[in-house]
Amino acid sequence: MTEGVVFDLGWRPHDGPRLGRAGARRALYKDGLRRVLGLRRKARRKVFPFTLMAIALLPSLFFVAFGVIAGEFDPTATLFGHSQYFDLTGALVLIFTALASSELLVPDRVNGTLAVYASRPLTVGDYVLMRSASLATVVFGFLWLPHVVLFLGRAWVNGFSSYVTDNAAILWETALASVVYFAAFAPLGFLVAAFSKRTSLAAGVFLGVITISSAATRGLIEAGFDFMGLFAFQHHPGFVKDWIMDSSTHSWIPEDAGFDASVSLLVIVVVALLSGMTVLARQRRAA
Amino acid sequence: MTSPADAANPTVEVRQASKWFGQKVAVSDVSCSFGPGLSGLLGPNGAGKTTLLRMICGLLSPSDGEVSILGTNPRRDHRIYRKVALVPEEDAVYGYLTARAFVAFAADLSGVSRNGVDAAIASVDLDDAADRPISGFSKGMRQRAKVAAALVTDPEVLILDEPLNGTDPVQRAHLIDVFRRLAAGGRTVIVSSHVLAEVERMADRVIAIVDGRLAAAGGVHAIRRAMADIPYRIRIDVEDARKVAATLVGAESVTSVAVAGSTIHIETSDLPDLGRRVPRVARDLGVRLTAFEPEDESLESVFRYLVRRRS
Amino acid sequence: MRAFVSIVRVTFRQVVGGRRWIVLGLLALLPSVVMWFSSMDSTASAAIDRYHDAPLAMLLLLVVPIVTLVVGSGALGDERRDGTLSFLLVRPIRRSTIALAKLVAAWLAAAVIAGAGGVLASLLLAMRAGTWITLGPTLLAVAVGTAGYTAVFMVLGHLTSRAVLIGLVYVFVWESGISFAAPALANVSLSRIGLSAYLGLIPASTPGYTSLTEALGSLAPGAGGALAKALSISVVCVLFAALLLKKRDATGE
Repeated sequence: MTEGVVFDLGWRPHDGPRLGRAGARRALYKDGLRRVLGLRRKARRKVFPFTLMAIALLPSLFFVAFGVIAGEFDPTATLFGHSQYFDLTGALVLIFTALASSELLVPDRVNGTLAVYASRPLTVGDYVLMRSASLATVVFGFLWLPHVVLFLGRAWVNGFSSYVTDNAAILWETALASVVYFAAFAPLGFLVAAFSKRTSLAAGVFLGVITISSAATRGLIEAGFDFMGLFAFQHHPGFVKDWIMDSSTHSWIPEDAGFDASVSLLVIVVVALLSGMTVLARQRRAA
Repeated sequence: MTSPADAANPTVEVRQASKWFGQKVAVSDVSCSFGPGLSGLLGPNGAGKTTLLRMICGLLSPSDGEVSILGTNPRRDHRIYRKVALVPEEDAVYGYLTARAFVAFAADLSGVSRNGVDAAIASVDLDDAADRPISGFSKGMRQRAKVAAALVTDPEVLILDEPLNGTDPVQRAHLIDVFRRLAAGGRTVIVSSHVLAEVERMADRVIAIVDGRLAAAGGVHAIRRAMADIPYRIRIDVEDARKVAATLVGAESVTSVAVAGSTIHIETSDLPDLGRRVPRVARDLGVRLTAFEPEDESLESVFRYLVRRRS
Repeated sequence: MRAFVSIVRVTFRQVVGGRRWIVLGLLALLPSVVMWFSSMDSTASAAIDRYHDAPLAMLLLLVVPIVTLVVGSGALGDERRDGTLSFLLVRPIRRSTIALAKLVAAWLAAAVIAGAGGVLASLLLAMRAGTWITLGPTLLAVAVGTAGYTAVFMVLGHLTSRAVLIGLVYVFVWESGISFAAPALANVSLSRIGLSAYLGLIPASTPGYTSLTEALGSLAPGAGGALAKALSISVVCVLFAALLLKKRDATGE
């Protein structure tokens, strides 16, 4: 048969703009946000993230409302001051990170969709970076938003312009502390999720390891093994936060072990780098 | 007189069974039965075949209606499972077990001797891979492992949900042969499948489900004949096709005529009338008639009509 | 019986398979590590006190709950989510037999892992203090504690895919926080069962005994009572799991 004919059934090739790698990254970032917050999914997927966020935000709203009604807001009050607030949100963000990091990495690897991403104009590095960016956005908002609410509430009661001028440093300090918390927990959460086949189990193992490491290191430090203070992963971000905000809200294990807050910061950075490299290698193998 | 949806000596009975999940109705008022022999359960994706089979097996409780196997409600009496085996559609295997261990596990759970393990594995042609972990198997091999696990229990009723998925043509032919032999031995074998050509080959009887409702039941040809509102398409091979076509086009029972070489494609609403008319026309015109065949009595055609009717 | 044993064997392999037993095993070793380093250069009496201070508390209040949570929630939960539950249910086996076999397998796995940690910690104590006084009570505490936890988490694992997370919230918020803050709530704390069994066997004159009894809250020490509680919880959970297996649709997830 030497002749042929093609019938136009109305199919057309894509003639719109090709968004390339940047577009693919943006799509991945937005997908990550949706997954973490349970958006465009069943209602029960939203329960955990929004409940945790509500628990994080409600005390600040309450105190602002109380202060506005009472007409005063003692800036030196320590009850739910900015530094103490991290003790509440720090614990919540630990749980949130456990859930979210496993939700971001495990399904793609287990369901085989990682290979689909790899066939797009995306590198595995892009994938890990955008997943981290999604988590960072939500965690940062989770941690910092209550402080913004508290700050604005206090400003409202204490003379807006003067309060803002005198206390503007609080905003960048709390922002920086939020980044530190993210850097301390998220890489470890991703590390556990990169090796787990179930989201719930990854979240559980991550929380278990973090919590038990605190108890174990406390015991060993009391026995005189101060270097074990480096492994109190749950306490490093709090110690660094107190350093940034020049406060002292808690007895931190690295502090009791005799370390400086800068050492805690170094541990956070090193662990984050090592975890990131391991996650990248693992995802490359799985793709 | 029994309905075509009911088998002669039913072993599995479904009476006005419905199943809904929240707002979604998966199966709606289905009444049918299955007996010894091989029955095919057909339907497009999402028709409710798996839901129906799981209700039959007792894994799902009907929201309304009843199901029974050998006169027993499987959700009330687990002992009936001595005579029942299920090969589910999903990948329900323990990846860390070898195929042999998996089949032996099935034998243990069903309380049958392990002596039949090797024979069950051989019957699905898995001998060479029997001592490898199932996690390393292809989709087709996993299917065969599941079938072997069902066969080792020597069931009276064998229910298979898409058992041919992932199998290559040789494996498919082999498995169909196994199912036919079991059915010929008096067992009730129910196979749900999308591979229409194979179902047509192996099933004596077909139950078709569309949108959760019973759409048709019985033999393939009988179902087609029951679709009186859809014109039949007939192919006629004859000398001087144009002359014959010109004569037939005027007949009342003929809906459309198309000529291609020595073949005439006719659509007719009255097959018996056409069957009498064509030989007479050929005789009167002095031309030789070499073929008179229905073009749409295949299961695929029937299936397409059924799906089109309901949508 | 053969079906029961087969389910136990396959489930045991399932819940400790892959990397799980390594991670859980390392977790279970932590009390021993703390025991070794915290009791260096201690007298026998001080070493026993140290054992009660951190290692035992870590074992019973952290290791046992976490190990049983991971193992117990997977016993039925993994079957449901992997789609293999139908493989078990379409069998001529009572649902209570399936539930009991699952519990026995998960309990054995959890008890072996956590028990290994307890044995090692007691061994290290014996090397420091020259006494094996804690070994028997520790083993019983682990056995009884894991039984109660495993039973509850097995049911939780079957009910929800978020079992591990809910279990952790229970362990870290209720057990480690609220029930310690209010001694009257000790009766609804699973971790106290193991501790009660331990204190029921260890002599009252043992160093650290008093501080441990304070941790018991309103409960009285007693191995028999602890055993009875663990057994009762297990029976109730097995019956409930059997009911769920019978009544609940096996749709998988």
